[in-house]
Amino acid sequence: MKKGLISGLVLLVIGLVCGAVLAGVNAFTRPVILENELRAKLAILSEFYNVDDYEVELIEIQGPIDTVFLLRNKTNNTVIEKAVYSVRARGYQSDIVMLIAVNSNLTIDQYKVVSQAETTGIGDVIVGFDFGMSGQNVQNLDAFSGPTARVSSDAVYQCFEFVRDRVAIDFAGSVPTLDYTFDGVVYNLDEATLLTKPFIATITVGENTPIELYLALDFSFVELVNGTDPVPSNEILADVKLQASQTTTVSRRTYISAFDAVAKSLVVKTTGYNFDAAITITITLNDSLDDVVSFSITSAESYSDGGYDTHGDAPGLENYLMNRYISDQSVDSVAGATFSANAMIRATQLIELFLNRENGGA
Amino acid sequence: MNQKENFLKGFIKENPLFVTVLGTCPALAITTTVENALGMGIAVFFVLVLSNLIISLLMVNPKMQEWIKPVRIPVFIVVIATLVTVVEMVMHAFLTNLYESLGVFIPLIVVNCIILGRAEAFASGNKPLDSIVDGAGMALGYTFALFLISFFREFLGNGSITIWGELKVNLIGLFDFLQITPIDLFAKPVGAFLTFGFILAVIAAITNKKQEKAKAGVK
Repeated sequence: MKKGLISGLVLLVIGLVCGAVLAGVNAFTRPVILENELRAKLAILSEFYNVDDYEVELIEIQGPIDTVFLLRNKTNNTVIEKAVYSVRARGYQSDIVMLIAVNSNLTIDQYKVVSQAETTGIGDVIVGFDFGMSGQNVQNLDAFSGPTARVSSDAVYQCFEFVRDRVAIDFAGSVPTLDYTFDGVVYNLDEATLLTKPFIATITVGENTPIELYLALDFSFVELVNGTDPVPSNEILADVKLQASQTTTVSRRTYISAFDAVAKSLVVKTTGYNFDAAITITITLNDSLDDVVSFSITSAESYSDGGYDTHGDAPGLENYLMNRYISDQSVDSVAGATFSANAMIRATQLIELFLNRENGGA
Repeated sequence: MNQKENFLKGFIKENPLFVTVLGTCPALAITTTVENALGMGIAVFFVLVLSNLIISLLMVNPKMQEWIKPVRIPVFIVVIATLVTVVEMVMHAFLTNLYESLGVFIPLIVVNCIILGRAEAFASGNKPLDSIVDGAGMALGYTFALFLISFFREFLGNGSITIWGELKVNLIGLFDFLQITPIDLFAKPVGAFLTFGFILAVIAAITNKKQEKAKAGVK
């Protein structure tokens, strides 16, 4: 017992001595390590600007944005001239790290993919690609023109979204707060107007009653649903566009592109992985416009792979899901072809909304 | 065994990598360049020599030996882990590129069988000076083995030899002269296994030959 206690004490003492040694070495090396890390980060910043022209403040944070460089005016350091963000988002098979520089007027100045390990020849085309974001207001991001490698492009867009969400903190005081609330956005299912004004957003300005706005396919404002309501300010409309694009209740990738009440046909377009070619579903409705009689897939995303696909040759997946839908089976999930399947699921949800409305539903 | 024999046994007779086949994981993983091999070798040298010295000093006193014996493995691990952490911190501060290049294999030196093996098999039962010499010999033997593997891998895989930092010997002209390109496979993990296997085969062939000769001589 006593021997065991002494052995334990010896181990304890050795552990304490080792801890003290480590503390000493850490006190010596830690400042050097921090200085090296700072130097490495400033080297990244010099990709865009001459660091000597500004007083650089470095902010390290947790989350997708790990570092913010605030470039202050050298003579008046209360003025932030630019903010540069080191931001990351998950791509197809790697984290995509970007540097995004924002001017004091919140326009995007420069951006660059600084690190990625996406698929060679497919996802890695994002490096050096001009996404057309320079000059855009970061708080009112438009859809950008990305390469067809959708997952990688989405990650790049997500990086801009992370910066958009952060920028107000860094340029505190420069960004006006808007006195309104965004209440939601839904599909416009009115036969007369749904083609040109596919969405209806509801907002409340100040303490007033809610206002409904017609939005275009890119969520930009078209007109008021009720012409007697006051027109919100441009700043509010810009924010509505931003909020609508972030919602999950509607998607600008899935919409009704044609409706013929005489022929009783409805055309729904929906996009999965291929931004350049949407899936097109042409549906024939019954006389009371509340049920699907038949459908055809006039353009598809799925492709034939020599019979290996469990859903058959193209448009096997699209046909499979539509057949499930019209036979009242669940289409909430499907194995494989995730992006195309999700596009089809969104399409069936939109068709269901349309039929419900014609059937006296919502 | 005199000090010279004690020192040299780590190179050939008891080479930790080629004879006792210890510490193979980092050896296969980091030998993509000669610089990595030398960096790892230096780290192992520092840890092995100092751990042998400290453990030998702890165990040289019979009373201490009696107290430590029941908890010797935790004690060895604490000492080794401390030394490895010191190496890691110093390397992070002053040899950043090498630190990033060696990555997780620096902290993994803690569980390198060579270090714990020498502590248990030699340092815990020998005098401090002998332990230092043993550690130095073993570490240099390990470094030599890493160097040999990395030399072939980098030369065949990249057509160059990176000695340290910017100091690099470009041998791509030799490949151009022979009208062949470097064999990318050697820069990959499979190349590490192939190179290691070839070297072991050569050593085995030489050893067998010697034994045959010795047997013939006896007859």
